Amino acid sequence: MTTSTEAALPPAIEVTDLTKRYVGADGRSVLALDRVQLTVGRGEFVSIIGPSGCGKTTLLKMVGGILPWDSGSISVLGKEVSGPGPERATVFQSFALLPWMTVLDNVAFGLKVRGVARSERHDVARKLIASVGLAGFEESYPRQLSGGMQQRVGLARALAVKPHLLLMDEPFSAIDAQTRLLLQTDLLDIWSKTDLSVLFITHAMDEAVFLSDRVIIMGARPGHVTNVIEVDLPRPRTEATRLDPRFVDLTGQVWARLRGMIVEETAA
Amino acid sequence: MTRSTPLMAGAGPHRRVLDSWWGRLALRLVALAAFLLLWQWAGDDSLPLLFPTFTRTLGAAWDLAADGRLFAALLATNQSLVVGFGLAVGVGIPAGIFVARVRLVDQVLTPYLTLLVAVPIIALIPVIQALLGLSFAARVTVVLLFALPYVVINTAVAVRRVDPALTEMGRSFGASRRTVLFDVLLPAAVPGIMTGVRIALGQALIGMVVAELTIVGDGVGSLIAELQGRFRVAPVLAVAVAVVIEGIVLMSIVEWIERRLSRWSTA
Amino acid sequence: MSKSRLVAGLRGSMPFLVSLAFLAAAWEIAGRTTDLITLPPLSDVLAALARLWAQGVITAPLLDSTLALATGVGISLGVGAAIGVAMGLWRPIDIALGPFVKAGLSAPLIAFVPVFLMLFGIGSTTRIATVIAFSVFIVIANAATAIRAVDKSLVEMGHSFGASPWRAFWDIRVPAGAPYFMAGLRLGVARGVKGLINGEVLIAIIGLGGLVKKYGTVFSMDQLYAVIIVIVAYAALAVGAVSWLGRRVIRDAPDGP
Repeated sequence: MTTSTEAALPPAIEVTDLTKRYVGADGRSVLALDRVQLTVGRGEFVSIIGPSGCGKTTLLKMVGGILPWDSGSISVLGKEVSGPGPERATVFQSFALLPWMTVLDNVAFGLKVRGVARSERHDVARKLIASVGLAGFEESYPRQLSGGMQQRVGLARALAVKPHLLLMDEPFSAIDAQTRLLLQTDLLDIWSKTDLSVLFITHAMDEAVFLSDRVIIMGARPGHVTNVIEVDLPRPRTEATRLDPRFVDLTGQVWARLRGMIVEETAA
Repeated sequence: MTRSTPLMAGAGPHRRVLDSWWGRLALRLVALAAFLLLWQWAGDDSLPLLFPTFTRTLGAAWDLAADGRLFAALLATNQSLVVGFGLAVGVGIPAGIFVARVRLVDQVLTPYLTLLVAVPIIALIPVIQALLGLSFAARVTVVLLFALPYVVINTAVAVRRVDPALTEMGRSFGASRRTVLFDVLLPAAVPGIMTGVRIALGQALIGMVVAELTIVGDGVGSLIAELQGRFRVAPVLAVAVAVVIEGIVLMSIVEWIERRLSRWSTA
Repeated sequence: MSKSRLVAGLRGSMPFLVSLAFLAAAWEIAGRTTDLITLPPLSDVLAALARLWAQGVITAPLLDSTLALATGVGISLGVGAAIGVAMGLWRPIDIALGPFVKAGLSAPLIAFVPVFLMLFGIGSTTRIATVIAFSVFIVIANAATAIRAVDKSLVEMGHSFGASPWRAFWDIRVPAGAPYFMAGLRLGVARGVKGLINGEVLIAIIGLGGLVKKYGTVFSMDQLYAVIIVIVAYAALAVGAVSWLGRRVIRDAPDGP
C-alpha cells in the first residue's frame, strides 16, 4: 500500500496491528483500537475520518508518542516510537496556545523546549508567523486573535521545530465554516512548499477529500480501519477543486461509507 | 448589559450616570456619608461605656495615633501576620503542587486540610498556648493554621484545572516533566493560586486578630485589653476600625496583584 | 452502580484512614510513654469525652450554643436576603453597597468582638453579634448573585406572557437563584459556626467556646481535647445538615406552590 515517491526510504508512518484497551468506568476492559493498520508515505497527506468514539484521536496521540498502547507497533521514519520526538509536531483541536505568552513566544515554544537560544528562536518564529499570514501580530496575545488566527499560530508553532511529520488533531473543527475553507487552502499552500508528511484527523468529509491523497475511514467499537479511499484529484487544489464533479463524487463515497456505520450505530 | 425589567424600572434613567466611574464613585460616597451619619445618630456620648458617635471615635483614633501607640501596636501585631502569612504562602504553594500531582499525598492530606477549613481554629489555641506559651511563635502558628489550608487547597485545585491540552502540547514538543511543570502548569495555575493567596490573607488577618486577643502580646491585643480595663468604648472601637481598614487595604493590594497576574485569563 | 462507587470511595479514602489510625496509635503511645502535660493518651481523651457527655457537661452548652447560632444565622438570613435581593434588583443599590459588602466579606471583623463585649456584656448577645458579623455578608453576596443569576431570556419570556413583576420575581427569579441562596445559607452557617466559637472563646464563659477556655486555662488537656473533638464534629454536622436540607429544598422547589 506504500505510495513510494522515494521507495528506498522507510515510510513516514507505519502502524501495524495497533491494539489498545482501557478500563471503563464500570471496571470492565474496553477495546478502543483493534489491530489498526496504517501507512503514510513520505510527503503524503493522509486524513482519518470516522464517527466519534472510533479512536482516531487516540491513534494520533499514540503516533505523537504521548499515549501508550498495548500491542502492535508504530514506527516513524523507520524508527519505533517510544515517546515524542523532534521529527513530529502536533497541531491541536483546542489550539493549546499558552495564553500568557505573546504570539512570538508561543510560536517559539517548541524551540525553547529544545534549548534554542532566544534570539535564534525568535528569528525562526518571526519567519513562520509571516508565512502563516500573521505578520504584525507577533506581540499580540492569543485572546486578542480570532479562532482562525489562533490556529495559524498553532500551525506556525508546529512548523517552527522543522518536523518531517505533521500530526493534526481536528485542527479546524473549532473554527467557523468560512474561515475554515481559507485555512484549508493556506495549509495546502504551505505543505506544497515543504516535504512534510501529514496525518490529519477530521470529522468533515469535504475537508478530508479536499486536503488528502488518501482518506482512511475508521469504524467504532472497537476502533478499526474500514475503508481507504484514494483521492485522485489533481494538485495544486484550489477553490475550483471544490466544484469539480470528481470532488463531489469522492465526498459522496466517503459519506456513503460513514452513513452506513452511523445508521447501524443508531439502530443498535 | 442587564436589560431593564419593570422591577428595575427605577434604574433606567440613571443608566448613563451609573456607567461612568465618577457616577459610581459619587453614589458610593453618598452611601458612605449616609452610613457615617447613621453612625453619628446612633451613637451616644453621654457615657464612655455607650456606643460612641463617629466623631468621638474619630477623636479617640486621633488621640491614639497622636501619641504613637496605635502605630506601635499595629506594627508589633503585624509581625506575626508577615511571618505567618509568608510561611503559609511559601509552604502552601509547593504543598499544593504535591497534592495536585501525587495521588497518595492528595488522599492523605486533603481530608486534614478540609477539616482545618471547617474547624474554628480558635478552639485549638489553648493547645498551641500549652505547647509554645504566650510567645511570638505561638501567634505565628495561629496565623499559619488560619491561612495554610486555603493556599494548599486552592493551589491544588488550580494546578488540577489546567487544560490537559496544554500539558499534552508541552509533552508533544518533548518537554521534560520539569519544563512542563515550570513553563506550562504553574504559569497556567497562577490565577487560581493567587485567588487562594487572597482568601488566605483574609484568613491570616482573622488569625492575627485572634492571636492578639487570646495570646496577648505587646501589640493590638494588649492595647485593647488596657483600654477595655478603663471601660472606654471609643478607643477600642477606633483600634478595631484601624485593624479592619488595614485589612481592607492589604486585601485590595493583593487583589490588585491578582488581577495583574491574571490579566491574560480574562478575555 | 452506587455500590461500586461506595467501594471506590472507600478505596480512595484508605490512605487517609491508614494515616488517621497511624496518628491515633502514635498519639496513644506517645501519651503513654512520655509525660507531657500537653499530650494525654487518646484513650484518656475519649474517656473524658464519654464522662463529660454522661455528666451533661457538654449537652447544655451544646444546646445553648445551637440556639445562639440559629438566632444569629436567622437574623443574617433575613437581613442579608433583603439587602442582597435589593442589590440584585436595583443597580444603584448594588453600586452603592457593593464595596461595603466586599469589605465586610474579607475584612477581619473579629476585631469588633472586644467592642461587642463592652457594649453587650459577657452574655449571649455578644456571640450572636459575632455570628451575624461573620455570616451576614456572605448571605448578602449570594442573594445578590442569586437574583442576577437568572437567564435574562426567562424573564423576558415571563414578560411576553404578561407575568406581573411580582409573579416574575417569585416564579422565575427565586427558583432560578435557589442554588445560590442555598450556597449562601450553607456558607453563612459555616462562617456562623466559626463566629459562634470565636465569640464564645473570647467571651470565655458561655457555650462550647467557654468550655475550651475553661479547660485550657487550667491545663486540663484530656477534657480540652474532648471539647475540641465535639466542636470539630459540631462544625461538620451543622454544615452537613444545612447542605442536606438545601438539597431537599432545591429538589422539591419545582413541585412547590
